[in-house]
Amino acid sequence: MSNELERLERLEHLAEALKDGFLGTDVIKAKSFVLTRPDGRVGAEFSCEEGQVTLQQRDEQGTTRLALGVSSSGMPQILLTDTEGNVRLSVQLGPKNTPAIQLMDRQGQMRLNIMVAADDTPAITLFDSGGAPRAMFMVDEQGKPVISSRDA
Amino acid sequence: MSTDTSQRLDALEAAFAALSKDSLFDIGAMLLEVVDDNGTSRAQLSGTGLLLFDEDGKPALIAGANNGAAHMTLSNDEPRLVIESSVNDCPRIQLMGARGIPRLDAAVDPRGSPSLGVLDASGRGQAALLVNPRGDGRIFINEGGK
Repeated sequence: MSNELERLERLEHLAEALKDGFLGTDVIKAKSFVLTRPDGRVGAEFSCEEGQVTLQQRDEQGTTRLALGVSSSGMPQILLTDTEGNVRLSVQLGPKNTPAIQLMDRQGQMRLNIMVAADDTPAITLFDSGGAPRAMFMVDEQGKPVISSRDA
Repeated sequence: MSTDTSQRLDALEAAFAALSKDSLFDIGAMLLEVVDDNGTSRAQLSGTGLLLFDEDGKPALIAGANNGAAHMTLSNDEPRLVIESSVNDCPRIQLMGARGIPRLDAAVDPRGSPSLGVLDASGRGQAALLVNPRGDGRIFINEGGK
């Protein structure tokens, strides 16, 4: 019986410690939170490493398919990745606070760029498979709308 | 086994049953907070949304959902890129220049027509690319207010 009591007391101490740490608290702080699937594989990770905070979600194969983050320089970014692990869509603020949406092909080449440049001019640019800009839709610094296309 | 011991065991079973729930929120937490090596909050995940902060503690990415609509904002002192699904089910993306003035506006209206507008520094539409409700593709250029 005394053995049972000792075991009970140990459990009670453990439960109390866990209660202080989790139960009833409003905030749980950590450098990393990892969500696992029922089989134990990582499904998502919410972490801060080397000044960069990210929320990453992985598919059934373990490939990161969605990442939201803020870089160490403070720039926010959202990345969508294909099944091969290639980034295909990026939504971000650039180094000069320039908002941009970029769509990439399967080779990782940017094919469509939608952005507001550092001088606040909005532009949509389409690129060929070699990365050369071939068509543009924009409003220039004087407020003049421009549609242009280039040959190869 | 005494009544006292039985009650203590019952209490323990209840406490550990709570801990075995599938998510942290089920055990009472309302906020998950990610901190950097200095202990500074860099991210918060709650029942209403996600907040990511830059190193100065300013919100850089805000995402959430309420009233049946989702939204996401990328900011640097002021909102520069906004993605939202409105309550009317009209998805929209806006890219802003200085002072938060939209310069690019992509949307699908309630009738399902997609449009892409390019605006000048005062927020006036200067060019647009769209498909109207009849399915006709159109490009509009605004030159001198016409």
